[in-house]
Amino acid sequence: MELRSRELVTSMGLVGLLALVIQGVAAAGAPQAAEALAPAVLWVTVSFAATLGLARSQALEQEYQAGSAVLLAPVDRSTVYLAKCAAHTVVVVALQVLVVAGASVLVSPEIGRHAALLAPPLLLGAVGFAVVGTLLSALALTTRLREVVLPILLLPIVLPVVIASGAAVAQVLAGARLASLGGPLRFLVAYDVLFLVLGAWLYEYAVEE
Amino acid sequence: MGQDPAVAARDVWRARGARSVLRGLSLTVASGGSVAILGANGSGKTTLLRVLAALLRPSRGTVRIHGEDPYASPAARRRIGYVGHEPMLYGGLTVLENLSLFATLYGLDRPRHHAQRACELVGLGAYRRTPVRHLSRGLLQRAALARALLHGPDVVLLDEPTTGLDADALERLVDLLRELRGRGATVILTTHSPQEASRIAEEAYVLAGGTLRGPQEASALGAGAMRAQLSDGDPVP
Amino acid sequence: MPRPPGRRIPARSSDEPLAWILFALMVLALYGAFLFAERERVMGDIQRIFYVHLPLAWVGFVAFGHACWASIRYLATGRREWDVVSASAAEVGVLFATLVIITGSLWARPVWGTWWTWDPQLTTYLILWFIYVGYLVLRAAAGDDPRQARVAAVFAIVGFADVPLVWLSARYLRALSPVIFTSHSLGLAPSMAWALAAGLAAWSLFYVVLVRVRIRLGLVEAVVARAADGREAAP
Repeated sequence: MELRSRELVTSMGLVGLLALVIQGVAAAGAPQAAEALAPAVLWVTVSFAATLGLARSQALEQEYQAGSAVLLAPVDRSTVYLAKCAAHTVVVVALQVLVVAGASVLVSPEIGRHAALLAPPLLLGAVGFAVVGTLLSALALTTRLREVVLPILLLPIVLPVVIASGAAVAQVLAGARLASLGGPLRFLVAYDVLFLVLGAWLYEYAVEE
Repeated sequence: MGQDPAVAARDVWRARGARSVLRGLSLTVASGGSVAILGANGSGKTTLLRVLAALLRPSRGTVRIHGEDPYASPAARRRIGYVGHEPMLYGGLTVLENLSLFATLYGLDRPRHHAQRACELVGLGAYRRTPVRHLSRGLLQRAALARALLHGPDVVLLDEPTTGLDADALERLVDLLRELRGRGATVILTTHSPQEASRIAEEAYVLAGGTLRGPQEASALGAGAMRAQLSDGDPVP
Repeated sequence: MPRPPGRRIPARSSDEPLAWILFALMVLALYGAFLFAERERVMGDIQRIFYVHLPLAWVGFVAFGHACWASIRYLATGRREWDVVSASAAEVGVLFATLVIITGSLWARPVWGTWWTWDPQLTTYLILWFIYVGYLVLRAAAGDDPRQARVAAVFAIVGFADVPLVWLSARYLRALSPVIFTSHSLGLAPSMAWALAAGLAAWSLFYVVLVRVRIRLGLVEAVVARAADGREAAP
């Protein structure tokens, strides 16, 4: 499973990450946002770029129907799902690192200074995003509408993650310490676990022909 | 378990979209057999093969590969090699990387070693570091074949493997299949050419109206008789 | 809740008495809302929208639960009928959800001065609306294709799981207006409680009637499609 993740990242790496970086830097640079809006900026950037990345990842699977080959293999569908989630999480985290770095430079240095404490909410948020995104991108690209439909599907579902993680980020930037982040973080963990289980169960149906 | 036929499909129904394309189809192939399935375009040959390969689930009926349901049993899937119309590879990775990945998925130890060997088996040694996206169609087909045979399957399913092959490549494929059969593998392929069927397979079936007619001796296939059977009762695509 | 009847389609005649009861209940509910219930002290007459708004919200949510349940059954059994139920519930549900947002907005304006507040209820409902639309878009693109129908079913399940999470997470939103609207904070006089109960009953029945009609239509379509495919075909 780990090897699988690495291979996926390799494949996505050049093409996917480039697209994400361009999006990330461009979006972060555009608005002259005050510090208060930083969480929103972070998450809006990450959300849109990550959605694109997920769509791209799924499209790669379908380019030569490699996804079918994976289904042929003697691997459980759920395992495939978990591996993909892991790979997507890594990519989203990489994106977040870039966005945080970019935002530190372009928006406010405060962001960079709090980077360590920003990690838990961002990481949990990335997991949530990846877990839901993996499932939904598999759904979206089977439809005639293809990538276009993914944002419509994904963003409402992922909203709790954005809200909770964004709230935690805002608290961190306002000077809170890890202990006081308990509420949003616990929520994120619950969300991640719920959708991981749900996704593992439903992935088989999503991918079945 | 050694008594089970290599491939046993019983009363299989499967729709493509809204239409049922396989209607109560049954097929039994013993180990080591080689079968060609003929049919017009749209008759459901691809659907049938995909059902056997566990890419599709029959809406009714059962499929057993060596006695096990491939859809439910990873062990059964491990014995199947499938070559479809699409190459089923990752465009952004090289041939070797693709094969190593699939070798890992199939649980082979020393995946790179197996990947290398599969490359050489189909004559792609020189291209192993080429990204799949850059391969010509002919080479792509060879790569797909490598992927299918990588893990030494004993049930090989090929969907119209001869399309687009030049005479040289065709010879190579025939040799390869003969070698596989020599090792006891079971081969099922689909085609719409009776001539090719007679070259590669021993038995032939015709898929028409959602079920199979046959078997016949593949070598006894005459073009005229085939045409009559093929045009009879086919669903309009 | 109506169950898909397998091969049978519910007779139209069984809906007739229901429709009459509905009519009566509706009259009762509207009377209760606009005439019977006492005038709310703080907000005045505009508060009467509440007797429609809350039942609509309840039904709108339950409708999606219905769709989610039907989706689960569809994935489990593969029977087309469940897919029809799910789509029907969603189509009627989105109607209710739209009305909830409109009535909520109409209520908010005179009371709080804005058309929109980011409180948990309204926010959740907006998201629910988007999820409804997403599901319906998927379902519409599906047509007769069972694979696409399955895609829609998966989304319905995911969507329904998401709604409570949206509601919970909305607590973390800093509300634009300091007034957090909660229906529980309204002291309900007995007359109000009755009006509310009548409203709940009436609108719930309204949903049931609409969904039954819609399901019947959908089942007929499914039967026609199956016949066109030529008997003994996969369900």
